[in-house]
Amino acid sequence: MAADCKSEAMATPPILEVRGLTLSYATRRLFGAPRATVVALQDISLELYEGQTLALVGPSGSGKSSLARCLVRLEQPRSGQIFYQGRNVLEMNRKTLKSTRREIQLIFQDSASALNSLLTIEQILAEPLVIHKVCPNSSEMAVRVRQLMDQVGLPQKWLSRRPLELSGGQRQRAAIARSLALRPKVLLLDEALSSLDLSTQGQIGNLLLDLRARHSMAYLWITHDLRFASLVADQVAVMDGGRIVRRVSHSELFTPTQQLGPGTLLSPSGSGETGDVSLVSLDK
Amino acid sequence: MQPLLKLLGLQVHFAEAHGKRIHAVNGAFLEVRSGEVVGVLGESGSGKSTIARALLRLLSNRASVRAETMEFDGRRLLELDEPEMESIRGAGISMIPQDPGQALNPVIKVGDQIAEVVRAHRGWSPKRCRQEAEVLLQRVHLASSSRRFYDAYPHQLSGGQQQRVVIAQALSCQPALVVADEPTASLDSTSQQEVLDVFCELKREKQMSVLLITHDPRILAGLADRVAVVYGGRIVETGSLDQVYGQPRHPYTRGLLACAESEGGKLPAGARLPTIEGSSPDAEFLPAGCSFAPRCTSRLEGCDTRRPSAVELEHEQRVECFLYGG
Repeated sequence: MAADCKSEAMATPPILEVRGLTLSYATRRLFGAPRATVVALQDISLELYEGQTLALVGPSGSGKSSLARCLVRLEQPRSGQIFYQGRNVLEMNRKTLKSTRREIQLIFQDSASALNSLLTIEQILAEPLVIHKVCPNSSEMAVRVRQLMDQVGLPQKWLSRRPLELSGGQRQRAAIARSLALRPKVLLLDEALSSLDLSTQGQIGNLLLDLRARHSMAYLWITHDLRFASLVADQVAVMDGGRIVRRVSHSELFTPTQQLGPGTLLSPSGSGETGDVSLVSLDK
Repeated sequence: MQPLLKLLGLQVHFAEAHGKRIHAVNGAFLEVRSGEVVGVLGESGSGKSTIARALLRLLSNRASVRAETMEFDGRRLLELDEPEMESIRGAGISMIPQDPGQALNPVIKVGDQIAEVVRAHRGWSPKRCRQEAEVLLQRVHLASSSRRFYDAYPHQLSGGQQQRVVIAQALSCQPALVVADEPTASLDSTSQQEVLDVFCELKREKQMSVLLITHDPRILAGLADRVAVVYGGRIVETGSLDQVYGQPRHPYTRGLLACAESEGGKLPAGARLPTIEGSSPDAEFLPAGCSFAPRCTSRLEGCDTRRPSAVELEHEQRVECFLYGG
């Protein structure tokens, strides 16, 4: 069934396409003299289709987050191209970039620092609607904000709370609600569930799967959790040292595991290419 | 044999502003024997870390700690004065925190930070402390002939390497018990494995006692001898790893393990990820009955109003649930 979905998706052009992306940072000495160049991304190419979930897995420092930040131009790559619906994101002027960012939303791991702790949840959810002038009047905005709370399963009575009055899972729901305010087509989830309990991960994972099914959204799901990637992704790209070292459908990478017991965890079943080496499984 | 650590009826409450009272731990029992790794498993907010901090008497003065028994190596921890307690911290019980980046000083070489702990507890000469620090780094596999790791600053190490430095610090006083509070939570899979390897080795070769606190059942698999499952500040189930993982009894334990299990491969269309519906109880307003009742799928009449007591089912497997006559 996954293969059908894939071939169906391939028939339409990708919603997001990356070609030969390279990003480097210059490290500097105390008074600004350049010392060395750190290459964060090297010749990255990938495609993301509507309704598809691409998991990006790899160890810390492999360039996963840098790639996500490049896609919304929070980082300026040295070379390469990023196409969103056929238009090059790197050549967009400010106005077009602003409207494109509405459609590609980034959700971070640490919801406590991603949300302004001085604002109420209501103000946080209304902020993108105000910035992008989406709602013509305040009563329509109030309705939209309440819809967003319903969409992510948060009670409306919490609209007056501030982020630090919510638990980590509730805050992450609020962060997702904020990103949904502008009805995006692509969500970039940068370790968005990693700091949560497994049960909360499941709850928010289900919410995201529902939203994907309802709105045909595309997800770039950055994670170091192979188990989670195996459950939600159509395709998995393995990153190491700033490169995509392997790209496979999930069934090629993962084998079924047994019931949880001493020493049993998900392990990659790859044939020992370079990409597998860095993704050590937890089984002993 | 007398257990190394014995906790019975531990209660920790916090007095907050405006008369708020947070019931973080509500009658926990726990035992750690010599050479044993005990896993404390539960979701965030269940009271796991509060139990650990109460053991070391590291809680703020807003906390009131009471216990029928809180003994370490035959000494009643709640009756010790501060200098006596200070002699237990580090040398008797040492703690490994969750975030190694915050535990290390960013402007001191990691080797010197380990030597500093050795000097504070043993009073050796600086040279001997440095030698001991090198031995400790070797024990956590961070040794090289060029002293690369000894001379490194924390930011030059990966998260897993930083956590191993913190473990070396914790081992420096040869403690009888190590309390590790989510030692792998902030790490990626590769670094998690490095840290778990060190724990496996310490267990195998040094027969060290460890209280390993985590929210992820997968961390304990293959490492813990016994597991205590915490919910709403109470130990709702305890037993050997095989008992708890092989035949979980409490509905909460079953839910937690189901969340960690995976059959591999993608979810079929319309299928759901396993979860425990609802969220952890608010420690300010705990339910009158079983604190898991509002989320429990096997709820019986009376679960909402009465609290179950612990029942011993098999040898050492205890569970607090009315399903088993609790």
